[in-house]
Amino acid sequence: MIAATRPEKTWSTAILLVFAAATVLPILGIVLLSLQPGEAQLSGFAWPDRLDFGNYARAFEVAHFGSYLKSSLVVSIAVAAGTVVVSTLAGYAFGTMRFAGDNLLFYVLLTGLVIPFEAVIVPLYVELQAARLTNSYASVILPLVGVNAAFGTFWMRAYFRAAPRELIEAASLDGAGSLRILWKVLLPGARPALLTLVVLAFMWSWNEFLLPLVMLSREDLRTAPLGLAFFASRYTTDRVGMAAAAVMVALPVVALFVATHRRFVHGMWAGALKQ
Amino acid sequence: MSRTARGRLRFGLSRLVAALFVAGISAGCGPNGAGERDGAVEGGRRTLEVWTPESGSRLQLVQRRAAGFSAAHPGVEVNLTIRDFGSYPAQLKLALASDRPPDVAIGNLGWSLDGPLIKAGLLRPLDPWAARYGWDKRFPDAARAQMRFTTDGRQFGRGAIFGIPYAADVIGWFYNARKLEALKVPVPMTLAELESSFETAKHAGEVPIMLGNKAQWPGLHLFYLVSADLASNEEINGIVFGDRAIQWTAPGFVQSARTLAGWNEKGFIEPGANGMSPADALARFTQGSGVFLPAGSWNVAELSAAMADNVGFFLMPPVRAGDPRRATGSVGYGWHITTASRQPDLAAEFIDFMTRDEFAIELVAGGDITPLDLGERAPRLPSRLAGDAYAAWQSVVSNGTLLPYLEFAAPNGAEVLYPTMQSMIAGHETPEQGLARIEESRKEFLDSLR
Amino acid sequence: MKRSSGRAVPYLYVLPAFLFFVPFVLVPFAHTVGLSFYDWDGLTQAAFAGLDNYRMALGSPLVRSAFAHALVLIFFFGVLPVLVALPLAAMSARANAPGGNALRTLIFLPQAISTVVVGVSWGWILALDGPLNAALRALGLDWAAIDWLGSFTWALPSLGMVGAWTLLGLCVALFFAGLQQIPESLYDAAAVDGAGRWRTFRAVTLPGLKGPVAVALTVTVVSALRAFDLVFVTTRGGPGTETIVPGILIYRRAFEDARLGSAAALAVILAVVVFAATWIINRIADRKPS
Repeated sequence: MIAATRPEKTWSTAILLVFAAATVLPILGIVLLSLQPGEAQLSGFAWPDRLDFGNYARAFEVAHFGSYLKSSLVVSIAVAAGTVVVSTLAGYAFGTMRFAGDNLLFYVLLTGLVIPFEAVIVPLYVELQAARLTNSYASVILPLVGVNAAFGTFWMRAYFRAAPRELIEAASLDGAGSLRILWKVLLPGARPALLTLVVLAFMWSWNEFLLPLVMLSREDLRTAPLGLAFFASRYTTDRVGMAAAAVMVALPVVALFVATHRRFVHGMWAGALKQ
Repeated sequence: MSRTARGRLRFGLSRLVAALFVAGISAGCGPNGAGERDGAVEGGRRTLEVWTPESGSRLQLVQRRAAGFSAAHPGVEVNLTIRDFGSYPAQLKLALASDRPPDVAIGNLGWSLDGPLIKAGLLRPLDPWAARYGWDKRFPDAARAQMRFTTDGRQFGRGAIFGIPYAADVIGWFYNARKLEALKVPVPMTLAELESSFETAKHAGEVPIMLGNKAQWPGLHLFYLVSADLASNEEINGIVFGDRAIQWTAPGFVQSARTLAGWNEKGFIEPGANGMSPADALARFTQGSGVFLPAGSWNVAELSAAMADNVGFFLMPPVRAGDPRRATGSVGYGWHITTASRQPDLAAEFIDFMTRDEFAIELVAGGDITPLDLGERAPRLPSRLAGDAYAAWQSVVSNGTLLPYLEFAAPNGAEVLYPTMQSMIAGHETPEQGLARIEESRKEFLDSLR
Repeated sequence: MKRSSGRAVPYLYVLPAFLFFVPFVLVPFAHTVGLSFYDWDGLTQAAFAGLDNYRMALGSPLVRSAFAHALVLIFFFGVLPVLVALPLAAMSARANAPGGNALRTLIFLPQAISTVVVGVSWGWILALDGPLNAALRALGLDWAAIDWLGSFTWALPSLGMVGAWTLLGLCVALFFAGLQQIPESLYDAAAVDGAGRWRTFRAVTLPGLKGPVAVALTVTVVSALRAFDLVFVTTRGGPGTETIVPGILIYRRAFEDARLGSAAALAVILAVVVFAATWIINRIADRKPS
């Protein structure tokens, strides 16, 4: 890049600032709304005279958000863990080994990236209902791992393909089996890629809406976004409560993202550019 | 394991899909696989599976009463499954196909839900029990047509008895009494007076008609109010009961739609209606927004709790002063016994228990309306509003001016009927265009019945 | 490439992924395809319907408008963010000003937020008595303070703008990263040739961003075609049928109307469109000479 001049730097920062502000303003609005005292019928953007966390307490007690958050946590952690395991194993094989049908199998798996959930949900529901699995965490966890396996394998394969061949050759000449090579040689360096995958899988399953909507009708199993949607549709006039609920549903993933953002974004770029 | 993997590869994608297709279809479909229903009888204890879409105070009443049934019948447990109204039809259908189908299910009149279920052979005709318990005599004449369906599911309004109702409803206008007083407007007694009160309210800066049409069916209820004045019995009954000689494009309906579009254009309807849910609109009305709220009588309990004597109810005023008032209403959802039930007699006992006078008395004491004529056993009404609603119901029943809901005419109202109503009211399409579209979808449905 | 030691070993590694993928994604998809040729209400015997579901779908004005609406969303979700992100990323990369990272992260933030939260929040912001209108009124623009999500004209574009808000940050992040990959030498060569800023942008920057643009377009276009959460939580397809998108129609047909064959046919059509769009975007990206 040609180096920018002083005024260019200032302009660029200013414009970026405007966009960042425009992006953040709605978020700020909701957070502020959630801190307003309970019965306020707010229309505009108002700074609360005092910070009232009462709405959060109410969402926990009255609207069972504690249970919703717990459900989301269970599902997201399970899916993230499952995704990482199966994707790493499969990505390792696709990325470092050659075997009959490897290309075909990979492309079959890749279709998972483009098959919309809407095209899968109906028979999936019917099958899981027949297997008496609906209204259980499994009904959400298993399909999500399946879908994420597509992206995850794709992702890890890219990483493994770019891994230095000499390292692998050397280790195998030393008599190490494939599992050993994976564990000792390749994984240590894969942390950025793995971290990105974990964060993405966690984020996607936390935010997943259609699947839990269809599979989970029991109150005690509802995940957070589902709980929010029901809350919003039932207590339509309780806007401050809804805002508090919204913040609570978004917070865990946003916090995770902010905490890992440097490594995550870096890992994401690196991965995206390997294609 | 690897053999499977290699085997998969050998198939080739198209053959794989074909194999799965065949396997899938034969596994996936088929009638309610009601093989052995374990769990229904366990060492003397019997469970009655009951499904309901009710909510709010009515649901609580149903739950209490069902518990009372268990108490009165030792060894019998009533398992109530509650689903929200929107997804109830589809969920019920899936439950009927599962291996634990309900014994008793609440339906919804006409072809909105009952028809498709009856056509699929999933609900039992109740005539034998009706004779035993006297169900056919319990309800007023006006209601009886709504309880009947031919067993092939093709004709609504005659044939065997299906759902047994328990709570009635009628659509009318709720009004904010203090606002009317402030506007110096008396309660309107004719259509013209109603419209002029809208004008007065608008000029005074009030919202004449509070409406929350985000769910799209409240607009249809507003249409019911207007068509009660402008559409004829033949037109309405013709649509509801499947008479092909009557069509949605009939003059009464065109005039009704045009009136509504006119009201919207003049700014009588709450401007944010399309973005507001019905619950939202109700809440705002109780908080002082809007002079009139077009809604069903099931809202009485909530409104009187919030507004006490500040709220009143009246039916659509007639075109000509003094004419008997006509109103859309029904005897409400009915209790059905499913074909899959292994305990139809117990189910019938339950239904009788749930629809007897005792239940009706509790219902009325809560401010709701019963389809039964309680005579002297009628309890004191809890509020003036409840009194208004009850009197309204009585009047249409005794005058024979109860009109059925137009949405009973076909299933899947959300697909064409509701959105088209919304768009006609908003002036987004003309009444002729919209009604033609509704008629087309109705014609498709009627053709499918043949 | 390493030769696998045991012939079965690679398959064993790949097996777990397929153990999840096949029964929970591939098989149901095959079922959907099969189901689309039947007329089934989930209850009674399915009746073979041949191509009827497809015929009805393709001939239905409602289905056609659902895809037309998806096309509108493609513009707002995909084209708009890409067009805005390109200069933003370029500017940001050139300037490399301090704090750029933080600002870009902020712009990316909406990606981490659940679409339900996004929908519920924007539902409040765009309400007739919500903060956007309050701001417009404060600026004296009372005539512009309408019921955005309840308007027959503005509901769909409003949802589109919400999507653009969500996806802008993703595009900026992708392009910014892509820009880092363009070799300095190309810029030097352009400078030597006397190319101005605009020509450099067109000759060096844009071609270099081909890959990231393809990725961005793929993600955003697929996002637009699949939009369900956002619509479900805000307008549910209303007012009238102005915001009906294929996902909503599929859900409704399957879970509210119990017309499973019809829903399946729609789902297959949607899948085909998604496949096609992805393929087209990537073909165009691959074809243009560097």
